[in-house]
Amino acid sequence: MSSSTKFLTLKTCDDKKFVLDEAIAVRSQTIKNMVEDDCVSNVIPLPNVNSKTMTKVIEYWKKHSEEGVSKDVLMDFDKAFVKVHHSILHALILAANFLNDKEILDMMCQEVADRIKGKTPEEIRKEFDIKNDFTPEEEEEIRKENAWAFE
Amino acid sequence: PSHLPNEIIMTILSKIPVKSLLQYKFVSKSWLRLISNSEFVKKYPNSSANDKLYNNHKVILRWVYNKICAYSLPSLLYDPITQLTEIDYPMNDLDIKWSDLINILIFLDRISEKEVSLCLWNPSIRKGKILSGVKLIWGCHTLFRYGFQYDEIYKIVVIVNFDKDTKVDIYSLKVDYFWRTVGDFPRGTRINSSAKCVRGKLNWTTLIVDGYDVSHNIVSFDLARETWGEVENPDYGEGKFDLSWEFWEMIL
Repeated sequence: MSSSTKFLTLKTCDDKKFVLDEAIAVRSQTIKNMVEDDCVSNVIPLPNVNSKTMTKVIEYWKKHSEEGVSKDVLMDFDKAFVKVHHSILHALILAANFLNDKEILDMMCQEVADRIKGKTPEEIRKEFDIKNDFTPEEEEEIRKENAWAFE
Repeated sequence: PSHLPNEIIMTILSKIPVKSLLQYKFVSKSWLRLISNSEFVKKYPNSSANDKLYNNHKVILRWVYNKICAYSLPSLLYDPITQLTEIDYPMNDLDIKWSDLINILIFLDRISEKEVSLCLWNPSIRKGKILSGVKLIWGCHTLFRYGFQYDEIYKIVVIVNFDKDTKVDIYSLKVDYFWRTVGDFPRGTRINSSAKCVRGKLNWTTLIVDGYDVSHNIVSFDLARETWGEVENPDYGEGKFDLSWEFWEMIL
């Protein structure tokens, strides 16, 4: 490994630039592939990620790249990290998906799952902004089939 | 809020207990499709590794008169009083076998005086399937059933001991109603214990009768390749004996 630290510049969709140690940025499989394929010029554009979300991602990457951090500290950090408004949660999921960071993606999906566990279909629709496109007859049909799940 | 792609919704839903999932079928048509989709079923963790509190675990009891009841395992372990839920199932059952390898019940359903057909039933989603292509004669021989999953294919193995021989049939759930006899089982061999599954192989002790001579053996069946093999016998020493065995997996 070369002794000098290499830096990468990431540009989010709202034209903010982030200068980051390459060793940290390659936590993103997407960026790692770009680096390995040698198609990194000066600036890596991240057209699907905004600066607010990227700030959170980088905060996570830096914490998890620090040396000598205990597991407990990381666990506390993660716990606090996922406590965000659900619009940010969704944005982080999309960002982690685009950046191909399985760790963040999995953690955030788990958080969403924990939040929706035990909620009614109506509450879920609100959370995910989904329209109920069943006719009352269709809904009745499925309800009959799965009646026991509502006991 | 921004819409999450289906793939991510699937990842999220794969972390939700089965019972909640069934309610989520109501959310929308696209969620109904996602949850019923075989891609999703494959993704859903069937292993207990993700279920440390045993939330998805049930203890199933069979009562006389074909009644099946279930306890929730966490409730059985930690609650002072455990509620028993009766499970309705649609089949006219004669004989039930629980296949712990794939978590389904395998029934024999009487279709006429002498014939039975095989039914699979998943108590988690309360859905069943009658394997209509399969007819077995009831009553005149021993019968063992096993279910297992290999490479996203569910297979059901049925073993019938006749007077002298053993017939083995395999039913595969991915290839529609595919049912056939697997050959090459050593002649004159009767299987005399229920199988133990070890690393993708079913193993039985067998009984070989040759005149007054009775000997024991261990045979194995490779579920993936569908081939038979023999396991070398340990040295049992002198004298007559009856072979019984247990299998333990060493977990580190």
